[in-house]
Amino acid sequence: MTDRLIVNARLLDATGERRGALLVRHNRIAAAGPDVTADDLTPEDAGGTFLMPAAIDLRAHIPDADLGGADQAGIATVATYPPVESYRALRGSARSYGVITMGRAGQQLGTYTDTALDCAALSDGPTTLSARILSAALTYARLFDARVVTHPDEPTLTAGTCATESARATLLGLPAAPAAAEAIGVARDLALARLTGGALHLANVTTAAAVELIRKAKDEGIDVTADTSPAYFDLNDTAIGDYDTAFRLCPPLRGEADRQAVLAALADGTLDAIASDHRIVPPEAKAVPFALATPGGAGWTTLLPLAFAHLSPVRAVAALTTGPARIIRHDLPTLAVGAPADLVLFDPDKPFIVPADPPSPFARRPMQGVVIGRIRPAR
Amino acid sequence: MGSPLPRRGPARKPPPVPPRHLLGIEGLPPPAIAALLDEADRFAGRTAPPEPILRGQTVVTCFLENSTRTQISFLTAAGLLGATPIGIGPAGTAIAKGESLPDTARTLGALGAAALVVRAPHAGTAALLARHTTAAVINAGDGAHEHPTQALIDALALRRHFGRIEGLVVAICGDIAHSRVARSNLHLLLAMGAQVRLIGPPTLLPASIETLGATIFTSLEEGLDGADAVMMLRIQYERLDSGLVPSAADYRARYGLTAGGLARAKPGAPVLHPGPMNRGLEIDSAIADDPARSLITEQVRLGVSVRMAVLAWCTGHD
Repeated sequence: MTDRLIVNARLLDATGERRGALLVRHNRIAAAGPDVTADDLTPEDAGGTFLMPAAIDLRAHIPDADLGGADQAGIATVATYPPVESYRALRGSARSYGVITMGRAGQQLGTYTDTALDCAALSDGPTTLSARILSAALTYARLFDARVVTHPDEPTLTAGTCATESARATLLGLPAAPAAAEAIGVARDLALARLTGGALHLANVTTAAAVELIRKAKDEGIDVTADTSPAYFDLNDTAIGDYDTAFRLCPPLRGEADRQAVLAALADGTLDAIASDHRIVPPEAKAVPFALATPGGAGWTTLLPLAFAHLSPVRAVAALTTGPARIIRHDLPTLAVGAPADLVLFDPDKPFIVPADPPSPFARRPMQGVVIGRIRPAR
Repeated sequence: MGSPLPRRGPARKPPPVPPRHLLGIEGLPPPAIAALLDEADRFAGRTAPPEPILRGQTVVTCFLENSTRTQISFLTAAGLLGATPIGIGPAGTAIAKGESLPDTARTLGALGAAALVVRAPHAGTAALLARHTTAAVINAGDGAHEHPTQALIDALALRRHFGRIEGLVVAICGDIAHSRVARSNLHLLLAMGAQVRLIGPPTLLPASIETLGATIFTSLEEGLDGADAVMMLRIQYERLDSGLVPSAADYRARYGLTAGGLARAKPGAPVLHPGPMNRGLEIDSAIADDPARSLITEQVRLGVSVRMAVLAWCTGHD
């Protein structure tokens, strides 16, 4: 159906929220607001839930290019690295980051041409680039107005560790690194962005110190954006408990003060986006001692509920739609007239229990927030 | 009053359900610690062979890290209690074929092991096994986390020497950051009312250690000053090469126990070491072998009695 009328909805996008109806004509939004009607269409009652643009997920690890769960979770587009041919078949649903470097040694810049750049951002995933290569990438990417994504870290401090230094980590005997290692990486990457005038995106920011540096850098006018993922504003490191490998994540969970700082940074826009960091880890990779467990977990079904649980609706939807869109230079998801009708009906109060499988830091938790409908452009 | 069948040996108690694990000292209530020490004391002082309370049962030690004294003393303890002791390691078992730890634990439980004693290089391994087996799991050392039976041995040695633990000032010196013996001793000594001093190079003191109830020293002399007892920990040679300490010579000069350093402790203060020792590095041979000061051999001797007490407790015989 290319034409639809949805009524009794809370119309929500990054510009604000209002009650009303939304009219879709030829797969595009024709009107949205309190007095919208259409005599030729049967109204579909949204039941008072949110009607919002579908989300863009900046980071999910999907080696088998299986995007099924994303759409049901209200996510229209997933950005992934490294670029894989199978992703190109999923045109529209998956965007590949361009690579920053080529070759095993990470010493040679990737081949950047306009056609190779699927999403106007370059990422090598969670590795740390040398200052020389990062500087070159930030400089060269300016030719294509592309953003360079880093995962800020100081690897000589964090190598071989699986936890954040704390009294608890000490008592558990877990190899741990100071949370400050992230800020050290952030400071270096920001300095190179300042030096080169390039556009930087800091992925998976989890600490107060890092957030403070980003705030100052933005005030200074450095072209930097940043994201985090739900584990880092919903959980702290006490969740690890008795070596529960569901909470083995990379970066590791932080202390409560860092969690609160990350949440505040999302609320005030210092952090531009929330990425899911979704990864399917086989259960046997978690049924091992904590330090040996594969980090990560499933994150699609919990992306929208956790964003809405912790932020105002407008901030939540901005962090899931326009924030990510600007980073990968995607069209801004919006409810404005003329925008594509790629929408989500989201009931923020509807309860569910996060499934126990696949492994996730949110497994078995009662939560609220379910996607009750998807409006997709029809053929 | 009379039983219908003739008695054939001591009545076997059924194992506790759920199984009673010993994964660490942290959280063990002081009365339970005292009861374990008392039972170990009784085993140590016995003049007759102990009652074979584990006759017909199997105790499996699964050591994924090298050990002499701990593994053998557990096997000996199990045998003395009448159990069939079986020691396995990674080589020669399905673990070498890639069998997971949960499957190993499940299998050993299904094969009827009453207790599973485990040592492994990673913190949390004993806890992981305990989630997947019907056997009682005893932690014989998991990475840098805990070594509960060693702390019980050290406490028993101190209690037999001094008649008490409460109020003693015990100085522990070495690579605290990576030491499970330091952590277990910290929990036990604090729980029983002793004061603990932790001494080590600043780079080998773990994060937030000052919040855990001990007094921290980076000078051996200051840390030993007036201490009632001294416990030295082994420094691994790999640690000396890892960039955290300048050299073995520097470590010995600052943190090795010599006669001069020991003289700062109270006169006659006993010296403990969990072993194995790096003679001439963290401890001088003259001190380690001095029968007037060293409790090291006594620690080894008490190891069997302590592990008998732990096996009895875990299998419900207490």
